[in-house]
Order: sequence, then structure tokens, then C-alpha cells
Amino acid sequence: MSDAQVVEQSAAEVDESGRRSARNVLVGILATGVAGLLAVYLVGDRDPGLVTQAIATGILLGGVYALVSVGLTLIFGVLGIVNFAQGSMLTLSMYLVLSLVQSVGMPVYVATLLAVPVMFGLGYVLQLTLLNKLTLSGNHEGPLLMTLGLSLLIVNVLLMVFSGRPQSVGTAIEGSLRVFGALLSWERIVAFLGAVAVTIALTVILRRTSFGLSIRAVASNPGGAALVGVNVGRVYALTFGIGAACVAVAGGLMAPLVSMTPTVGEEFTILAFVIVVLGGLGNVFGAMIGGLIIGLVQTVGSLYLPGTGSLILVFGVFVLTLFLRPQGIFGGAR
Amino acid sequence: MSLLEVEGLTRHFGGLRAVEDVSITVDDNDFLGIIGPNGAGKTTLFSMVAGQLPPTSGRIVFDGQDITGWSAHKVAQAGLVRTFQLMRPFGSMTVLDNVAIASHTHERSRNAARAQALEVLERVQLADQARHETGSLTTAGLKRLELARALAMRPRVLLLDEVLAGLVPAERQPMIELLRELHGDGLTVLYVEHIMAAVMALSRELLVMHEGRSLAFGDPHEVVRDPRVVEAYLGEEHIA
Amino acid sequence: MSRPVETATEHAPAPGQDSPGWVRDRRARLQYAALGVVMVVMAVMPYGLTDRGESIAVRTLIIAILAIGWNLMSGYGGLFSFGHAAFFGIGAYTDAYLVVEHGISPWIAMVVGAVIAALAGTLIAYLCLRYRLAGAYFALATFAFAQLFLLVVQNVEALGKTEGFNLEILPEDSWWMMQFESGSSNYFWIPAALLGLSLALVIAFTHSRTGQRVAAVRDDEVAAESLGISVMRHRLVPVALSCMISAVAGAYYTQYYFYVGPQQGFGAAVSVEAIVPAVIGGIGTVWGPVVGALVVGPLAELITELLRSPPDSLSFLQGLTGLDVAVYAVLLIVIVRFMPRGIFGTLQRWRRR
Repeated sequence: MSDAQVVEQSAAEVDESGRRSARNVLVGILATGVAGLLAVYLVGDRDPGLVTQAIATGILLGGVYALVSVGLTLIFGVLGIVNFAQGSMLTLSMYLVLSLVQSVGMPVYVATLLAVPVMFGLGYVLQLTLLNKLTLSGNHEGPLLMTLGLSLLIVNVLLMVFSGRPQSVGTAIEGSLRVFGALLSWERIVAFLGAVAVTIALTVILRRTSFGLSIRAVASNPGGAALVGVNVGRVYALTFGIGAACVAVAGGLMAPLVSMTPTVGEEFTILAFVIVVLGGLGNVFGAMIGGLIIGLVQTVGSLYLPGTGSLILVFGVFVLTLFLRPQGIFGGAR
Repeated sequence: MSLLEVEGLTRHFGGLRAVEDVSITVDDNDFLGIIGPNGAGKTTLFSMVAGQLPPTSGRIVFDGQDITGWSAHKVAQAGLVRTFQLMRPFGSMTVLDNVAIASHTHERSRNAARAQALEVLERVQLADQARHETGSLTTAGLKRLELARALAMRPRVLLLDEVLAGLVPAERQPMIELLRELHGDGLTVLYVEHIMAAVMALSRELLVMHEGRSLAFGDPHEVVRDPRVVEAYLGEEHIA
Repeated sequence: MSRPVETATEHAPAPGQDSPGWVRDRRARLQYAALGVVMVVMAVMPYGLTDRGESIAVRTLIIAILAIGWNLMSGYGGLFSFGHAAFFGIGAYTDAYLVVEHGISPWIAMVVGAVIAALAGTLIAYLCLRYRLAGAYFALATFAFAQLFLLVVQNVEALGKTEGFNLEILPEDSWWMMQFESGSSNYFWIPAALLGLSLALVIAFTHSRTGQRVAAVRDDEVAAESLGISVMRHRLVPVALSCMISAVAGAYYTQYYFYVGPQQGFGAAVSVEAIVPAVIGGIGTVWGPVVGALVVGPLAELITELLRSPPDSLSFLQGLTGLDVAVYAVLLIVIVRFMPRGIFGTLQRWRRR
């Protein structure tokens, strides 16, 4: 066997065993999840209708979380940056939509459409002006500190402008759908479908377009990509912009569902991070699965620990992941 | 009893047999060269012996102790020290402090460690750069730094991983000389290398690896004339 | 039996001849000397300060100690903590709880708080260190834990809930209970001494064998391991020390202000106050956090003043929550963007050229 064949075969074999291990873990989690849900139904001392409601809501919420995490994981995969500001950018998007709704009476979803290019532009500019210098020189700590700074700045400026008073965009669509005994508001369904649509669109862009190709090239080999003429700095900025656009969509879709306060941003930062860690940093599919899992954990968990209590459960998932499988479900070997 | 005994060492990655049933015996003051085409498993073998990689099966006995599966830092503390092919200096420290880290294995006080480090640097002719940052060293200098760090550990057995890689021919000869001197001082060396001139000049014994297995072993001049060895190298050239 | 390689014997300088003088690490002595000067200055400072000046100075000292702790873990040790409030708060609340609920001496409470904080930090670090992305995980974990602790104390009756703890004002001076008459210079000298101790600890540590090994592990784990250094242990030691130092800052905070609440102990402002001084002064340097604290301390007091009673032209700032952290965040962003090595770091680079 030639060297090249040896290397290829070994890579394929390692890949295969990695995929098998990921599949096993996923099956394990599904099994545990199903068992846990059954337990909740049978001995959980909660009204079955409520449980079904929680599950349905969790799945729908999970879809939106997935979108947030996909953005985060994309940024990490391409730039190597853990974007601490992801959660706060989500909150910013929500408040953007709120402003548009309150000032000109725009419908929520139209405001969301407007928010997307705004956030994209913001992300693009942030990466170009603040982060590129650090990312291009391979610095790891600088971007981490920078995104922390951005996160805190966004949240606190929002606090100063809008105060900590909970606000709401009001209802976007009246009515709900009954599915398996659970009452699902149309807003939730739209949020879920919208998130899934954007995630799929993103995956298609990454895989099928030449633009997506240049992103993937930069992700795996920035030096090589630069040599073949790719403007790495611009790809970085575009990727960050896309990540911001993802949270713009997610934020607008979620706005009718939540009571907004600026500090919600910090909670989302933690959520998005836990999801990405659970799924495996850099793995888009993992981010989606992770989003679903965490969505369910939150809603079913809040049956027992209302409000911020469910955050503790999410926390527990994080610690458990770190303990049992730090690379996440779809992460590579340690 | 030999200083280092490797018995049936094997390492699989999934279905890939990187190293298959390799056995070596190293006695005091030996100089064992390990050669073989790319992908033959030489560095994997090294990594297992030095503790960076656990073997799939087999045993490593060092100075009478079974060190199989020991972690890298314990192996190094025991006296089995390796260098790296890709230099890994501690970027925030001076050359002297880099070596002092290694000296600290045997010296508790900073001053004693630094004094010892300076002596080692003199041995490898790097003392004039002692106070410089590692960033200012040439490749040859960095190679000597790697060597100095390893020597400051006062190793019983030294594992050198392609210590000549990246050096231009003019830089190689001094390094070969240095290694010969160190061997003369009593050092025991296992040595992975591609550059045949160095291998032939330094090795007392030669091991040829091919596709994870040991192909031939013995006196260097006899081994290179072994028809199986010739075929392994020539065969590779044909495919490439 | 092979003998260890005696590289020295044949080629070393003749026995009895000393190695050159510069081999002895003089930097440690210089730093201790500088520390001595600083201590002397601080000893006499109260005599020249007004009451207002002294309160700014104490605030600066507390922040400096907090930042020194952060810098040891994150700058020197390389593990970035984004929720150092977690450890500061443990110190602050342990002091409050033990003093208020059990009448225990704050000196003892300080030590207890330091130990608890060290255990917490070490555990979190240990869990995060088992995968290659330890850095990002640890940053998030500390961030999340600070949030978690905030939530916990807000909701637990025994820990004061949202009201926090108020220290009882004693009628007489007491060194045992760390209380003196209002305006006493002891309130300045105690944190000054704590600062001195923290700096001495950091200087001693960085120049010790363990400290050098920590730096090696930070620079290159694999190489350090191949030189016989236990990576896990040398990653955890700076964490433990760091948590202890920052917890002590927290404990003194409670003592000085006679009060601690969820935001004061575990708020985001505290976590940022831990980071910004080191970033300004130079991450990983000994004096960086001190220099940075000289900027952040007065700034913190200024912002508190602005929020409490702003001048008429800026009346909209009254009670504007979030201003303090926003200002810190801007500072952080600007410095990281334009002077990532901080003041000392940049100076060090020039000197080495």
C-alpha cells in the first residue's frame, strides 16, 4: 500500500469508528430521553396533558435554539472563535424587532425580515473592524475577551436604553393548533418552521454554492485558501455576519413567545454554548440535535422547576457532558 | 538485563495496523537507529515508548520496571526522554529558562537549575544564546535547544525523533559530531532518522521498519544490504 | 547500570569557578524591592488622603487584589475566567454569613471563604480540562457558575435572598472583628497589607519551580509533559491560588462596606472588574493588574457617584443600571483591539527588542 492509501484508509477507519461512536451515543441519549419522558408520564405526578404540551413546546423551542447554535457553531468552525456575544446578539435582534413594532407599528415578522440584513451588517462590520486583526494573527485569547466585551456592552446598553422592565411585542398571529392533545400556538409553529427553513437553507448554501465552498475551504485550511486567492478576511467577516443573521431570524421568531429583558441575553449565551458543546463544537448537525434536546430539557424541566429553575437543569446537562463526553455527541476523539 | 526492552508492541487505529508486533532490546550505551519509509510506524513506536500513546498490546520494560501505559510525564521522570520532530520551545521564556525547566527535574532551587542549564547549553554549544528569546533562534539552534532540554533531564535513554530534519547539509555535520560525542560520554540513544549518512555514521545497530513491522535488525552495514530492505525501499520508489 | 549523562564533567568550567552572575535570577529581587517601595508608600498614604480619597483608594485596593487573583489564573496560568465574581462572591458571602449568623471573626471567615472558593474553582477547572478546548469551556463554565451562584443566593433564605447581609456596627474598635471607628486608617492598611501579601505570593510563585512549570504547561502542554511535568496538577495550582486571593478581596469587601448583596458579590460588574485591570496593565505580568486597578478603581467610584447624584447636565444618568458594566466593556474592547498586551506587556516587548 502506498503512503497515500494508508493515510486515506486510516482516516476513513477513524471516521467510521467516530461515526459509530456518535451514533451509539445518540441512540443512548434517545433511549434515555424516551425512558425519561415515559417516567414523567407514568410516575411524574404531572397532568399528562401538560406533559404532552411541554414536549411539543420543547421540540418547537428546540428548533429555534438549534438555529442560534448553528450560527455559533459555524463561527467556531470557520473562525475558531467562541462567540460569547451570540446570546446578546439574539437579544439585540429581539429589541430591534420590538423597536420597529412599537415605533412604526410594523408586524413582527416584517420587522424580523428587516432585522436580518441589519444584524448581518453589524456582524460583518464587527468582525472586519474589531476581530479580524486578532483572528488573522491566530490569537485565541484576544477574540475570546473581545466577544465577552461585546456581549457585556450589548446587554448593558440595552439595559440603559430599555431598562430591565419586561417588554413584549404582543401577538403576531392569533390562534393555535391542536396536535396530539397539545395546544400549539401558531407563533410557535411558525418559529419552528422558520428556524428549520433557515437551517436547511444554510446547509444548502454551505454545501452547494461556491460561496459555501470558500467558507469551508477557509475553515479547514486558511493558509491554503489564501494561496488560491480566497480573501480570508472577507470570508471571516461574511461568516460572522451569517452567524448574526441566524440570531436575527431566531430573535424575531422568538419575540412573540417571550417576555423580553436585556439580561435574557446572558441566559441565551449559556444555552447556546451548552447546546453547541453537547452537539460537538463545529458540527452543524450536532447543534441541531443539541438544540432539540435542550429545548425539551427546559420545557419538561420547568414542569418541576419553574422559571429559572429549568436553567439549573440545563446546567446539569452541561456538567454531565463535560463529565461523561466532553467532546459532545458528534465531536471527534479527545 | 537490558536497559530497555520492548516486547511485541502493537498499535492499531481502528483497522489500521500502525505498529505490529515490534520487539527491541537496548543495552547501556547502545546507539540504535530506526529507519523505514514514511508510514512505517517509527514515530508511532516512539510515541508509545515515551508514553504519549498507549499501545494496543505489548510490553515496555525500562530498567526492570514495566512502564507500559505509563503517562508521558512519568516516563520522562523515570529517565526515558524524547525530543520532538517539530520543535516545541516554550515561547515565553529565554533559552536558558527553557532548559532550566528540564533541570528542575533534579534541582529544586531556581539558581541551581539555571546554573545546570547553562552547563548543558555549553555542552551543545548554545550557551552564547542563553539569554535570548527562543523566537530569535534558527532551526539549527532550536534543534540544539530540544537536545539541551532532553539532556538536562539526565536521561538514561534518549529518544531522538528526526533531529536532523530541517537542517541544511552544512548544519548537519556539527550535529552529528555532537551526537557522537554524547554517545561517547555514555549516553544511550534510540534514533529515528531519514538521512542515511547520519544513520550509518552513528548507529551501532539498525532497525528497519516497514508497514508497522520490523523488517530487519542488526549491524547497519549488513542490514542495508539485506535484500528485503532493498526491496522495501526500491519497491516504494516504484509505486511513487 | 548506566550512569546518568554527566554532561558537565568534561566541558564545564573548572570546579570552584562560579557561573556568570546573571544566572542567578535577579528579577525576583528587583520585584521584591519594588514591592517594598510600594508598601512603604502605602504605609504613609493615609496621612495625605482625605476621607473621599481614602474610600477611592480602598475601592482600588479591593479591585487590585481581585484582579491579581484573576491574572494569576488567566494571565499567568492561561485559563481564562469569565465569571471571577463566582470566587469573589464566595469570599464575600462566606464572610457575611459567618460574621452575621455566627459571630465568627472575619479573619477566620476570610480563610474559610478562600478555601471554599479554591475547592470550587479547582473542581470546575478539573472538569473542563479533560478536553482540548479547555479554554473556551472554562470561560463559559465560570461565566455560568457566577450566574448560577447569583440565582442561588437570590432565592435562598439562608443566604439573604435579594436583601443580602448587613453587618452589625459594633460600638467599639475590635481587631478581632475587623471593625474600627469610621474613617480609621486601619481600613486602608488592612487591604494594603493583603495586597502586599498577594503580590509577594505571586512574585514568589512565578519564580518558583512550580511557577516555572505552570508557565511551561501554559506555553506548550505536550512539550512540558515530555519533560516530566504533570499537566493537570500544574494547571490546577494557579486556579486554586487565584480563587483564594480573589475570595479574600471579596471578604474584605463585605467588611468595609458592611453589606453584601447578590449583585455586589456575584454581579457581572465584579467579573469585569476582575478582568479589565489586567488587560489594561498587561495580562500575565506581575504589576499589570495593579496598574490597571489604578485606572479602574477611581473609574468605578466615579461611575458610582454619577449614578447616585449626577450633575444637572447629565441628569438622565440617574440610577441608570448597566452604565458601569457598559463602560468597562468599552474599555475592554478598545484595549484588546489596540493594545492587547496592555501597558506592561507592551513595555516588556520594547525592552526585549
